[in-house]
Amino acid sequence: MATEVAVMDGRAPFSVTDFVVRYGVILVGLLIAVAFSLLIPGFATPATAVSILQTQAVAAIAALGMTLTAVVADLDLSVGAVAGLSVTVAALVMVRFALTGGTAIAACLLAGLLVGCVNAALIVWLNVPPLLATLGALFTVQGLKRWMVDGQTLITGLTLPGGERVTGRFTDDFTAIDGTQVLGIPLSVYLFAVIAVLVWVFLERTRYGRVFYAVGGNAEAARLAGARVRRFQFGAYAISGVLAAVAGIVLASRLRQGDVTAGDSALLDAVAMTLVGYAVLGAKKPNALGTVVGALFIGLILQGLTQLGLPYYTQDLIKGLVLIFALLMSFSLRRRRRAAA
Amino acid sequence: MADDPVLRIEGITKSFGENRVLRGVSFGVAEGGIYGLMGANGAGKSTLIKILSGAYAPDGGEIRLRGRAVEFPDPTAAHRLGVGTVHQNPNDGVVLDMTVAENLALDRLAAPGGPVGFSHRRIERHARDVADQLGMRLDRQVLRSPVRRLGVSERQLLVLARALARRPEILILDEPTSALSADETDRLFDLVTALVADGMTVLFVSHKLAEFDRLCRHVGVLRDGAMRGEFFRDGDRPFDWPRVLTALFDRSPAEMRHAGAAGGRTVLRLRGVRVFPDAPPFDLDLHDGQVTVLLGLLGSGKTELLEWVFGARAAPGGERELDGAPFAPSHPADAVARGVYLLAESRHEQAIVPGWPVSAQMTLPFLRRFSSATLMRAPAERRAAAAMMTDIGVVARGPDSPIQTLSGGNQQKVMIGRWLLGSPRVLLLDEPFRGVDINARHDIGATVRRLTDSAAVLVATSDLDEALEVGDRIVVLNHGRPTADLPLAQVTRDRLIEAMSTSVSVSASTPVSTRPLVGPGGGEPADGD
Repeated sequence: MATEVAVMDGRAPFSVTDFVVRYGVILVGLLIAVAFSLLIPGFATPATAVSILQTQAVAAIAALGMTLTAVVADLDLSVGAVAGLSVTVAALVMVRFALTGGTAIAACLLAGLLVGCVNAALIVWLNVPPLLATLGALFTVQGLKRWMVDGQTLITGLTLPGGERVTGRFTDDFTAIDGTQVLGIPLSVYLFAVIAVLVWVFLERTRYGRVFYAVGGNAEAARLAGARVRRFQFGAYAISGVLAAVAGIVLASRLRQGDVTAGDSALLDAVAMTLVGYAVLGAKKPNALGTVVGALFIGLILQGLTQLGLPYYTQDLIKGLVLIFALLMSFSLRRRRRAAA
Repeated sequence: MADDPVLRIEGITKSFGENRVLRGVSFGVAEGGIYGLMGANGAGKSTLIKILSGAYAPDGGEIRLRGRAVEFPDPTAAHRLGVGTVHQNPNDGVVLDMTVAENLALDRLAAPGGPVGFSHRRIERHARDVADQLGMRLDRQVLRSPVRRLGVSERQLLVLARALARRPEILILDEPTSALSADETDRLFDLVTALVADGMTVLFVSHKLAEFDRLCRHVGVLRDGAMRGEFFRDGDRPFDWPRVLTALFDRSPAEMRHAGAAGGRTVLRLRGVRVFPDAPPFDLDLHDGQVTVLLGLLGSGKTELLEWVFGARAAPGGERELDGAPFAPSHPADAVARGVYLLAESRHEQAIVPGWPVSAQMTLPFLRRFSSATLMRAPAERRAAAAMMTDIGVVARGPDSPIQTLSGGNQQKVMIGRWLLGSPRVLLLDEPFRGVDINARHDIGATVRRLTDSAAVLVATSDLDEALEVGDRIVVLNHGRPTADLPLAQVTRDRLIEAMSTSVSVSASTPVSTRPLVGPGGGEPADGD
């Protein structure tokens, strides 16, 4: 994009716009945190931080997968549906068939990998535009999970249409994922942290990550430099499917029932986190650190406003405004700067 | 030259950060004349043109039109004041998904007070009007084909037509012939001469010396952001080129001659190659120890041949053999693994990853070497890139400089340096000198020559002078078949021109006498993986 227009300098003299583009989101985030701390007694505590992390972990894990696909191609719109599929699959395995938590986890991951591979195949082999392919998967998977449970919420004691009563329940080891705390922090938060670090290291520090960004920056140039572009695109969508399934496992562990609409809201949250991430440190591209900061940013605002008594149903409005603010940061400010050059 | 210049540039300066690109450029262009502007890459030519076309604002100095100081805050302002520019990259001046007719009529349709409703017939009438004024004859099929399907040279003519349709008083032509064949160049020059006879003033930028002798009486040489000399010529005498070139780079032209080297061992053996379905098969061997030039006009099959050798494109037929062993890459990765590298034709579309620093651009194909246990080793990467930059003379602040801060010639050096980081057996360079000034061209030529100690080098070009400057052996490709294969000692201009232009009857049914206006898009990269 900026190849011919912008002749910019690595170490240009200080500019306010430059500073805002780089640190705007972080700065605003800190200001908001300070404001909430002053307004709400007891806000500035580790408990609040843990609560924010735990609440956002589901969408944030899905967003990290989406970040990978956004680097090589485009946003993976099926992550919410796949997370929901995990909830349904986990419930089926443990509640309907009374199998172990380990089996449930394996089944969820497999289902996520499968959807990821279908996405990848549509995009890489069958040349469907990425956004549209994953949109198709979103619909299909949502329908699939409803069909799998006849549109019901699977809970222990439910009577099936055939007259049979389901007797299985979410196993303790499975519910421990979001329920057990170590050093006052739920396991799910550790899981989120580990995945975030892994994705960050992968994208920023490994040679595969370098090729990911090359494919996203100029796929033809990457191909002519010897990168097997399609394999990387395939891999990104497959990993995204698995990470969305992990997000669903955390969600299932929290809900402890096979809610058919679970996970649906994770999509838009993940999109918002990924896009807010573009604005962090002036990256202007999908990046792991940005996505995590985006998750914290959104989580912080929602947590604070909720504690101030903001009704639940205004949350989407807030998230939307935050997203637009971040988009202005990463796109509009840059354009002004370019024109000035 | 007594008359007042219609366009006067006075002490123009422009910096990007600490990089002073223009350090006070002054010159004047006389009315009704063609002023030639030369300059090495990085000399500031592109920046100067961008200032004159309203894309950049200068930091200091002024532009005077007929003695009046003017400012071009944006390109439209330049148009309004009668300054039209045809940029080097033809894609900047056309809408790719619109038809030829729509492109030609675009300015009239978009003008305030233009027609509200329009029909295809009306558009085509407008388009014909515009084309007629320029002596272009376009049939209906051409008018209705989308610009995307045109080759580079047709696009170039179309851009020129659009610029002229605005009836500029001063026309800036930025390397207008870089994608044109000899015939097309003649047509363009006739047109420009006629327009100048009608009173238009032209600022003509080029790298080709012969073109200045044909068109200009007046040449200015830009180096390091300032005018280093202005030269005149009388009558039919050519410019005093040794003096001009000495001003252009601090080297005399005699040092740029070379004796043709003989070939060494055969590295790459091609058998029964067919680059087009209707072309007859041919054999070609490449040796180390020499630079082989593949000379041919646009559409002669050079790119097709190179990309096939590199595994980036399928060909209708042929066998490849590398160092005596079979070589059948199905993906560029296979070729890279065997030391066969390609510098693609279009730097921006096929080589550069936008926004990346020089070091990452260079190491992209060899990341495994710069990583341990898949983790990148940044210091090793920077060291290797910095060493390569020194080695091949890349002018940039350092390996961390974003690629877009480099001049075109230096970007090209980076793209070549990328492959020198590997261990090349065969280096294929597709139009490596496009948009590259003579100075950088000389550096690249020298770099490539050093490489022949260990590798076979094939340079594809459509420019005769480039072929003579860099090649030891020249193979002429004409519609998918070689029509000449000569060592430099036996080469004469006339023989090459004949081989390039001879009409080859490739099969009984398709004589290739004139290239159709709508041909296979010459500059389009292959898609897919």
